Amino acid sequence: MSNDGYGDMIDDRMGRLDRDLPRLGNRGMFGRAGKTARARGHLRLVSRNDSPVQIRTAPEMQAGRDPWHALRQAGLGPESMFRADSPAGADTAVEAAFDMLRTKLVKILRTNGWNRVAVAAPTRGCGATFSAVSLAMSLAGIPGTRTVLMDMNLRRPGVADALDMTAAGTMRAFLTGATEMGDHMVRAGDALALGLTRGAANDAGDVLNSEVCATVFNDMIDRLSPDVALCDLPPVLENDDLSAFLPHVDGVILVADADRTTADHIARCEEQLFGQTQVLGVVLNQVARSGPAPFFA
Amino acid sequence: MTRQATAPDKTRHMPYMTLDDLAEILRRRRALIISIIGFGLCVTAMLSLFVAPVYRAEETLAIAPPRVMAELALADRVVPLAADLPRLRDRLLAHDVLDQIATAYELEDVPDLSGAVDMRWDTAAPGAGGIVIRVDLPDPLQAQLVAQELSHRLIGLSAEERIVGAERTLAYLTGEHRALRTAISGLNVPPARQGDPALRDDLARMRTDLAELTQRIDMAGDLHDLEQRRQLERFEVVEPAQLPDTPIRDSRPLLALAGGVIGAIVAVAVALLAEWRHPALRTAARLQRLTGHAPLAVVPRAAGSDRDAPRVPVWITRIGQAFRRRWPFLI
Repeated sequence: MSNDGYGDMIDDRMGRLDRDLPRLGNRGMFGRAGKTARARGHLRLVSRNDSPVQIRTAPEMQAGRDPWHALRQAGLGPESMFRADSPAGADTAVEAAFDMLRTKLVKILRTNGWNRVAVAAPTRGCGATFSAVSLAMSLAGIPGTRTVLMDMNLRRPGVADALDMTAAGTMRAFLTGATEMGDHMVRAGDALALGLTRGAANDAGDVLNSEVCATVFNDMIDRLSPDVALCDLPPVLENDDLSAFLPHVDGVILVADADRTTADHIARCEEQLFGQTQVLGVVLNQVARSGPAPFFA
Repeated sequence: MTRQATAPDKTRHMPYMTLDDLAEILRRRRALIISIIGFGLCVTAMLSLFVAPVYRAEETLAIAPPRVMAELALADRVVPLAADLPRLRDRLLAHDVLDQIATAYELEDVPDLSGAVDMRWDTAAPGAGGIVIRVDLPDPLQAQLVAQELSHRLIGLSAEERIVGAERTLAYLTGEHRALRTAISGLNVPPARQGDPALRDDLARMRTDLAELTQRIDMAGDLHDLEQRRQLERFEVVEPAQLPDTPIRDSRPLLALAGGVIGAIVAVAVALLAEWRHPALRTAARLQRLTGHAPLAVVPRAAGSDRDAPRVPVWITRIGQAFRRRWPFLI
């Protein structure tokens, strides 16, 4: 296996973080150091079955253009509740909650020099996808920043539905190197790139465990150079997909449903994540507005 | 702010409940609670259909003094009526008598008529006290009629017994008189003893006894005559039984209240049990208390979320659906 390109990427990224963090200045929230992502010609990878995999490089990238700007533009679908003109109307309390989460998250990431965040719930139906999308939209609202949202819940993808968008392909194809980043990722506005997926992949654990996946994901981060990369992941307690992907993220945000998640769920999540990553915090979702205590208490 | 995922401290997750938590549980599970209370009320309402109210009819009798003042002297020779009361009561409330009454007044549905009837000397009754006959029955008219019937039977039984007693006394005295007179007339005194003073004394004593018996027979005859004409002590109705218009005991409201109270207790218990089985985090304060995590963010439900609507338990929904299928024209 050739590690030349991958090692370059890690060094490059860590060096950029180390270099940029103290100098926030006017170069975006995380002080992104210009266009450090490099276009590589042919990066040789090894797939699970040891067959060589080639990550194809888009012409724009070969030409030295910023891959972020080379991504295809796509708007949110008309039925998306995240559109500004959504018929459902904006819920200011929900938006405010995610703006608050954004601020806290940015502070944590900035303090620690991190930018890869997994969003997961203990069990299904807690609102991890909704939280990931909402947080991504909120982050994308910060001028001059770049946010990537990846739908890594390969078994039950939901980001595309939440945004009422049609995915160009499957995340599985992208993570196995079959689809080039420029063909898979889209950009919704200037500040948000989306990695959507179509259909379910039953071998999600195998894909996320593979080194190809790691390489492709790291390559994508390197090339797009986002300030924050959010990954919507499957429930922690339902399968090992999250554990397989944990080495590639800096921390996990647990999304708990106020009505469904129990303290025992949180404890079991902690056991699962023990020694693997940081729990950045718990987002308590679906909290009742009425009742003896206000929802934020 | 971040934390390395650590092996959780189990003791940290020991839940306890604050009043706010309890109020929130009750608010959130109000549909379940209301359903169970409603179910309890329905059950007790159906049960109350089989529980009738109890009406009481009372008839008061007093012991009337003899009507013939001249004959009052005889009163000390007659057993006072009040002394007969326990025996009369026992005879009146005997099973065979009550069975007759039950048959006559169609009270076969009353399981324990002897328990529904009471007769006692009541010093608080009008006058110097009297006998109060109480009848407690589900039907007010039946209660009135049975009280009147018992009263009527008591008067009749009393009069009958006293007449029979007078007859027996008269018959006894008459027999004694006859025997004594026979003894006197059959007395053969030998000529040798006709001057015997002892014999003369015996004869005089027997004649005295005969005279006394004759006097007592006359008195007994008078008593018998007076009893037959109801001129001596007797029972009289002083307050006839009225048709009761309000029940003395109606357990239906109490039963319904009990259904509601028991339903409420069960409902709260079920709500707490459901909460105990699934102790969801609910609020940020509870999250922090149970897990030690201060939430990174608290996201409220979207306005108009269907979660805010009271959730009707599935079993009630199914009953409603079955009802709608069976009787679609009613809904």
